[in-house]
Amino acid sequence: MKFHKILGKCDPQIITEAEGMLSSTFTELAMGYKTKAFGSKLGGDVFLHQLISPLKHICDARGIEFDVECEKMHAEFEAENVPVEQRDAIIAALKKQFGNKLLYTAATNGSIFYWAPQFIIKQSKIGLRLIVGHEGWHSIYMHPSRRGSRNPALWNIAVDFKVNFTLMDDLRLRDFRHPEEVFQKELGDFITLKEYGGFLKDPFNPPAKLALWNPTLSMKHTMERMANPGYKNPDDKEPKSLYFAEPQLADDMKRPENIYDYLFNQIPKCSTCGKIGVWKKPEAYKKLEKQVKEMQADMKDHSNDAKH
Amino acid sequence: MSDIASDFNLQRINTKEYADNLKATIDFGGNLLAIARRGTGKTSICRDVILGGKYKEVYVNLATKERPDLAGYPDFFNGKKDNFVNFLFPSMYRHLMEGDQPCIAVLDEVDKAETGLLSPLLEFIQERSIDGHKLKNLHAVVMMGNLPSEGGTRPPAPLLDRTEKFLVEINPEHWLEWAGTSGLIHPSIAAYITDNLHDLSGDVDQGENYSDRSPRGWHNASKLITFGERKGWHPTMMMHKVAACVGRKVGIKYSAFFEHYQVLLPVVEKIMKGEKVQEFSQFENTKKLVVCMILCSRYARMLDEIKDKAGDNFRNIIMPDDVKDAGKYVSKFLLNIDPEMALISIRGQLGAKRVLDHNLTDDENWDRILTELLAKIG
Repeated sequence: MKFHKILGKCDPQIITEAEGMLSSTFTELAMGYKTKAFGSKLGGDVFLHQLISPLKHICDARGIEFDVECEKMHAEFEAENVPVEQRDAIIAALKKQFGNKLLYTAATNGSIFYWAPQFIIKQSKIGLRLIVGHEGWHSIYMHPSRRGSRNPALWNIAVDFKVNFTLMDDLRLRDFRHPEEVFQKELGDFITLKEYGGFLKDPFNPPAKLALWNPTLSMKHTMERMANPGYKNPDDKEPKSLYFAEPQLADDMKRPENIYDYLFNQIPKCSTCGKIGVWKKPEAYKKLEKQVKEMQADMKDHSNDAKH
Repeated sequence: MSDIASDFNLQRINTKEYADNLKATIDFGGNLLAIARRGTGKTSICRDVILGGKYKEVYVNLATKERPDLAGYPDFFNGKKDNFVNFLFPSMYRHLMEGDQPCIAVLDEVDKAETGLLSPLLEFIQERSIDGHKLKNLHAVVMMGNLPSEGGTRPPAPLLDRTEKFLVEINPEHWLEWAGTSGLIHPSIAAYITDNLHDLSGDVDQGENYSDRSPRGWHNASKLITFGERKGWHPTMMMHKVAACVGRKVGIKYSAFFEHYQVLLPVVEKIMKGEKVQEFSQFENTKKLVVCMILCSRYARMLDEIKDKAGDNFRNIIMPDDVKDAGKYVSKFLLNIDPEMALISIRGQLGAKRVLDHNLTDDENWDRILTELLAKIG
C-alpha cells in the first residue's frame, strides 16, 4: 500500500512507517476470517479488505506541520512577550492557512481514506486493525451521505457510537469475551451513550470521565492564560484519547438516526424561542465569565492607549 | 482486456473471434497462425471447432520433432537390394494421404520448432505435400505459438508469409461463458473470476515468479477441487492445490472467497427457502452483511427476470409464487436483523426503483421494513 497523496510536511520516516503498518493491516484483512496467524491475530475480513484496500488513501500530515509551526511561534511569543489576544489571532490565521480542519486521527468520506501518520504509528496491531475497521464501517454504512441537514459534529458522534458498537460486536463474534476491555486497552477509554447524553444535558455537571470538558474548568484556564500569557493548561500535555462507544446498544438505538435524535433531544432548548444549547450557567461559571470579560475589556483599553 | 504491451503488428482478436476465424479459415481451406499467451485456450478452442465440423484432427507438437519426423526416414533396412532409397513417412501422414476424410493439421508450438523443420513445413503448408508426395486429405493448417516474453521465438518470415496471423487475447467474459456452458470450471472459481476479472490471467512477464494465474491454471485448479470435493479433501488442502496452480497471492484471495462460497451460500439458500438459520448470529459482522447483500441481490435478480420476460407489461403480470415466497422470506429475515445491515443491503442491491416498479410496499413485511428503515434517511 502506498499513499496516493501526502498533505503537509513531516519526517518521511513517519510516512514510510505508517504505510508499512497500514499495508500489514490490509494484508491481514485479505486473509480468511479464521486465519488468525497474522498481525493482530483477529482473523481476516475479506469484505472490509475489498472495500478499503482499492480506494484512495491519503496521508494527512498537516496536523504535524501545524504543531511544529505552532511550537516555533510560541517560542517567539514568549521571547517577544506577545499579548494573549495577538497570540490567538496569529495562531487562528495560521490554522486558516492549513484549512482550519486539521486531522489528528483518521477519516473517510466513503470513497477516500485520510490517515494522520503520527496517529497510525502509535497504534498497536489490534488498535490499528480496529481503526481501519472503524473507517471501513463508516464507509459501509454510507454515513456521510445520510447526514442530510443534521448537525455535522453531532451526526459524526452518533455514527461513531454505531460504528464502535459494530467493532465491539465483531470482537465478540471473534471470541473475545470482553470486547470493551480490548477496545479500551488497544485504543483508549470511551464515553458511553448515556454519559455523553448526560454531558449534553448539563455540561456544567459532567460525568467523571468528562470532567475535563466542564466549561467552568475551561473558563478557569482561559482566565489563567489571560493573566499569564505563558500559562499552559496542564491537561493539554497528555490529551487522553476518548472514543464515543457503546458496548451494548439497545435495539432501538442501532440506527445512527435514532442515536442522533436521542442526543439532540438531550440538549436543552429555550422554552420561548426554541434556540438549542441554552444551558443554565452555574454561579461559579458566571463569575469567571464576568472576570474574563473584564480582563478582555482592560486589555482592549490598554491596547488602544498604546496605539494613541 | 488487453495488457500485452506490443501487438507485434498482428491483428488482435479475442477468443470468440478466434473461434469464428478458425471456422472460416477451415471452411476456406487456408492456413492460420494463432499467437497467444500461455493458457489462453488456443488449442482447446481449435479442437472444439474441428470437432464441430466434418474434419479429422491431425495433431503435431513441433517442439518434439526433428527434420526426419516431418520429411520421412530413409528405408535402409527393408532387406531388398536396390540402388535407390525410398522414404518412410511417419504414421501421422497416413490420415493425410489415405482414405478420403478431410483433415486439419494442428501444428502446436510452432514458435519452439527447430530451424531444420522450416523447409518441410513450407512445403507442407504451401503445397499440401511432403517431399513431393501429395497430402490429398490435408484441408487446412492451424498453427499455434506463444509470445516471445513467454519463451517463444518469432517463426521465420517465409512461414509467416504463408499464413494468416492473429494475436489472440483472452476475454474473461467469453471464458466465463465457456466455463458456464462446458461445466469444466468449478462454480466457486467461475464466481471468483466473475468478481475478479483481472485475476484470470497474470502478467505477461512472470519475472522471477514460478507460478502465476492463467486460464489453464484455473482450469487445472477446477479439476483438482472438483475431485477433492468428491473425495472429501480437507479445505486447507484444496486451497493449497489452487494456490499451487495459480500462485500463492491469488490463491490467498481465492481462499477467502471460497470460505464465503462454502459457508455463506448455503445460509443464503436456507433463508430463501424460509428455513431457520441459527448459524447467522454467530457470523462476523461483514459476513452477516454479505449474506444480506446476496439475499437482496438474488431477490433483485428474480424481480428483474419478471421484467425481462414480460417487458413493459410487467406491472400487469401476477408475481410467480417462487418470487412471492422469496420476497416474503427475505423481508421477514431483514426485519429481524441489525437495521443498518438491512438498510445497506436494500439500498445497495435492491434499490428504490425496483421497490416502486414491483410495488413491494403492497406487501406487509416490505412495507414495514421500508417504512421503518427509509423514513429517516436524509
